Amino acid sequence: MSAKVGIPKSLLYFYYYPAWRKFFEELEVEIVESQTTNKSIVDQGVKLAVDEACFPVKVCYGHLMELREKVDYIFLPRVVSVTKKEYLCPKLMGLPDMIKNNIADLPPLITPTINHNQSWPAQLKANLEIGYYFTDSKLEILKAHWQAAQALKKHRQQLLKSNLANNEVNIAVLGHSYLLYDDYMSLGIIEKLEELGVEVVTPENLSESQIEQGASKLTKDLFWTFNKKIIGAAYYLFNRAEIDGIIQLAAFGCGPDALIGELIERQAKRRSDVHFMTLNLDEHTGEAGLETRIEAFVDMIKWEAKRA
Amino acid sequence: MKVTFPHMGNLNISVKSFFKNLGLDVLEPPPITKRTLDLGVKYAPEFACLPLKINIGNYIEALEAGADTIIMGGGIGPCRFGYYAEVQKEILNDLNYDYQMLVLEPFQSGWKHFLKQLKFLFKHTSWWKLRSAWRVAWRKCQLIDEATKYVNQMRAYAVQPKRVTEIYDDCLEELAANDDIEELESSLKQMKNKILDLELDRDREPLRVGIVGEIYVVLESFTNLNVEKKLGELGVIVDRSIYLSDWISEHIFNTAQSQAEHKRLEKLAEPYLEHFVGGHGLESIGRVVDYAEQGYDGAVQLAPFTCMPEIVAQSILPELSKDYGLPVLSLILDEHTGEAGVITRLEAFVDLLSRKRNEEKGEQVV
Repeated sequence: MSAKVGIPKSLLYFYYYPAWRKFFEELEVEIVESQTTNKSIVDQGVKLAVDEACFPVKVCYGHLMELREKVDYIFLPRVVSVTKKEYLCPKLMGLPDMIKNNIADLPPLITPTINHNQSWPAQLKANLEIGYYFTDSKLEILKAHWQAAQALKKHRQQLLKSNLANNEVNIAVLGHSYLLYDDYMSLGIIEKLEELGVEVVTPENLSESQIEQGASKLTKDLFWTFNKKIIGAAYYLFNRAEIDGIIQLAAFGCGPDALIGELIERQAKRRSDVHFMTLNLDEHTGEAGLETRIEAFVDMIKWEAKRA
Repeated sequence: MKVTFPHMGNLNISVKSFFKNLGLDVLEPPPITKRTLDLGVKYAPEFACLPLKINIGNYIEALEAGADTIIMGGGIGPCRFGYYAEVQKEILNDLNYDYQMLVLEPFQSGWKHFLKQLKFLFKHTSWWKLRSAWRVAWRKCQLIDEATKYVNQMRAYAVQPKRVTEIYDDCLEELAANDDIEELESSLKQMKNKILDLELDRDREPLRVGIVGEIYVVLESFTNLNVEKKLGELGVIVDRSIYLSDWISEHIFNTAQSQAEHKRLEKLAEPYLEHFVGGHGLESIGRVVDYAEQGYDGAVQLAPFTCMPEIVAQSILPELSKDYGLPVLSLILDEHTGEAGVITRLEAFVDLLSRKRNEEKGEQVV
């Protein structure tokens, strides 16, 4: 009999799913992923979470509800930091506690604390803890962990896009992965742009050194890892001639986005060579309105290219 | 060089005295008004938290009045405060103000930055001045907090609580005007004596309410619409969980006592929140548990809209409240918060608490 572990398809899933899948597969644990975000998931999440929470966290509540009765465990790590001297946002650090106190009748949650500001034995312990639910063999767990890290590395390698010069229009879409790659929340913006003949570049498509190059322009090191990636990408892409426009996606109520988005927007406004637009997404965002704005944005870029 | 700094509650009294005694030319920003807030709301990002917006208003009003150097705090996350200064600089730059901003970064953010701060400071002052300026400012800070604690208790007993507030305000003025430590201490004694001379009703058994939340809105009465005073005037003993002097003891001196206190709070919070979440999120949970165990009648959580650590706390508080039977009121504050609405909610809250107490005593509820 193998235990069923549920993984909510939200938030950190979009950054780490190749590793998570691999890890549990290696330990021969059955994984049940929640459905792709849909209306009923959003509605349930919005109902359960406090009004003030950001849109992605509310949606995560919905995914937990969707999984609740289907699995033996739910994997919901408490990720404090994935890079030394940096953090994720406070809500992600407190997410397991918020969920536990707000949703009744949950199966046991697997919530290891991942904190790269700790010493490595502490980190190792956290990783072993996840495995102990399913096997006693340290070796097995470490092996699975290594495999998972490799899978993630390979996945990230595959996402890199290097040659953009031959495309007609390149538009960068910047934002948290859990927003960009969740088709329901982002209203399929990437697909819509591609239908308009646009090549889309996201922070995931850039290499670490490119991101670092952009982020080095900051006046002070940014302590939020994901937003550093976003602003690093923005500052890097501002100076790339092959990028025709930048669209920033921000989640309603996202704390870091409010500040970092502002910095990106102010930089963009000071330059005459960048087409820039910010879209705020929440449960009320309408698809038709979004489509109109994207089409206008792309038309403007194409029109300008023709005139040149 | 004219130095200015952002407001936060009565912080200005200590900071002004500190900078002045260091030999700096200080220009305190005008008191926070509707205009300050409007300026902040106009220029700051829409979803930034309230303190950032009011800071912007403070800077603009101080720069208009002739200041040219802003001294601001920094941080290393994960709370947004640590990146305030970077965003604020960009906003002021786009508004074309001529100024410089010195950001006091904590030690952990790196040597280079820390040395830069020291260099700036000692270009304008000496070690000796630093020592004596700090002594006065620190004492002022402690005395203000002591005065506030006393007044938050006594309003509930005074037949005319408004008089208590008047005496308190006079005392704050004296504390701001004076630099002699003995005279400062006698100001506090006099304040206590004047309050004791008022008509007091010692037979009352006032309700007791604890205040927790995000430090800026807890300390800054403009943003919390004077919630301590309002509760006091409704006959409630108020215990505020955050004081500036405690914060300094914990974050700047890191005393053994404050470390132990923090450990205690972590323990209290643990059944509900197992990890720090930046800001005062964990402390809010720990303190509410503490209030419940001490037999308080209720707790009020204050937070700016979109404050990340307090959203975590706010999500958890209803469960905690249920477990302990302690009513908790979460007030989320921003530029749209109306005074009348807050008064109504506070009155309803206090009514609920007194009904609850009467029911528990088995007295008849009218």
